[in-house]
Amino acid sequence: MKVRGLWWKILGVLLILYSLVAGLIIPLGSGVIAVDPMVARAGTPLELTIVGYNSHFDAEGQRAWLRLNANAVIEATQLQAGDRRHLTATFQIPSSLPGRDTINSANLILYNSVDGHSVLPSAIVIRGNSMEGSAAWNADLLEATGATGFHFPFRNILKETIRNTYFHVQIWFALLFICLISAINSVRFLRSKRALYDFKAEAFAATGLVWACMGMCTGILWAGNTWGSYWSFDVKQNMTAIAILMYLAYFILRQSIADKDVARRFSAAYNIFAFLMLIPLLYIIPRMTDSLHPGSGGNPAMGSEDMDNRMRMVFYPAIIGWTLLGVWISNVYWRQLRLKSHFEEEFE
Amino acid sequence: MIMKSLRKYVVTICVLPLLLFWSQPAWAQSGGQDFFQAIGKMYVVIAVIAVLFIGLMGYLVSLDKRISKLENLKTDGEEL
Repeated sequence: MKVRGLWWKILGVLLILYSLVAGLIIPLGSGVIAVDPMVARAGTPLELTIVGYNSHFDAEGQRAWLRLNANAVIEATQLQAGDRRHLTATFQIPSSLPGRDTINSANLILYNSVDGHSVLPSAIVIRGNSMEGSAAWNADLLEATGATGFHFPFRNILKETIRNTYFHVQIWFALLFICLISAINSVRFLRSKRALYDFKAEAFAATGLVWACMGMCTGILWAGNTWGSYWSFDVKQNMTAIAILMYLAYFILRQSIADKDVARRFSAAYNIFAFLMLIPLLYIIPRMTDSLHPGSGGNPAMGSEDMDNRMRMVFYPAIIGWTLLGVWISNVYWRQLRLKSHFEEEFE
Repeated sequence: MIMKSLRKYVVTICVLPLLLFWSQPAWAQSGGQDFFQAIGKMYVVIAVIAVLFIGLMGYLVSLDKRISKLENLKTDGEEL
């Protein structure tokens, strides 16, 4: 028994397996998930209880800072680590703050020799400002250093779900390649009128549709647990819904025309347009307006903190793996279509 | 016969995770909240992987059906 093109099928499965294993077992970097209290008054001492995530607060050289802006920083006068995840930091907040605002939001920055730097943005609100002055806000921050060990970045809203980059985002990238192959086969069909290309176009479009449904379902789950709503009518969500309907229409079109040759030509032409619409729907329109998704409204996608080189080492193989798996299933699908057409001709 | 017993397994496999998901809030409220915070929403990642798996299996089942149709066609030559 021989399987055609076995090597790339094995490669695809191995790449998916790799993305599953590496995507699940590599730990997140350290972060801060909670502080208490969240409001402090200027001119009073503040005892801040900090709860960390994957942190090593009992490690050597633990330090903590409150930072109002690039030039206004104070350092904790006293630190007491309960355990790896719990830290109590005491700050002497000066009575005068830089600027005239009476409500100031400060970031909490932590450092130790194991975790490197971790930041909780807008950790605490400092109220009251007896007079403008930044004299007391002059502590030096340590220069940013990376953590020891290999891990994925910690993001406060995402936390562990940043791993969904390999289980949700990858499928949309793979889908683009699958739909491209479908459209190329439609072009080849229109040029040569060979039925084989039509089978291929239909099979790849079917896989694309399944991939899109999987991408949408995973996206709904992810959004519900991070953005707070399963469907927030974000521009990218709406556009993907349109794209899925567009590809559903392709299959309805195929079935609704009785004459086989006409159906094939119509659906090939439609498929090319569907792919040409897919690019603006998924990649251009969402970038022109504000969106919760990365890559929109001045919110960078591939170059941002949501994606670093360590994540790329898992993300790119995941895209290739899911593309190859899609090609494999599509090949089984079109071979089935070709057989069916053979039988139909035989029994007619 | 084999198909029937197979179907029973498939239904069990599909329904069990759904039941688990629905019953989740009950044990999440009764003290499980700390646990869910401590694992940093890891359950979302697991749910997402489960969706991928279910999607793939669903696609496989539909392909299986189509090929079964062809096989029946080959043996008795009846209409499609």
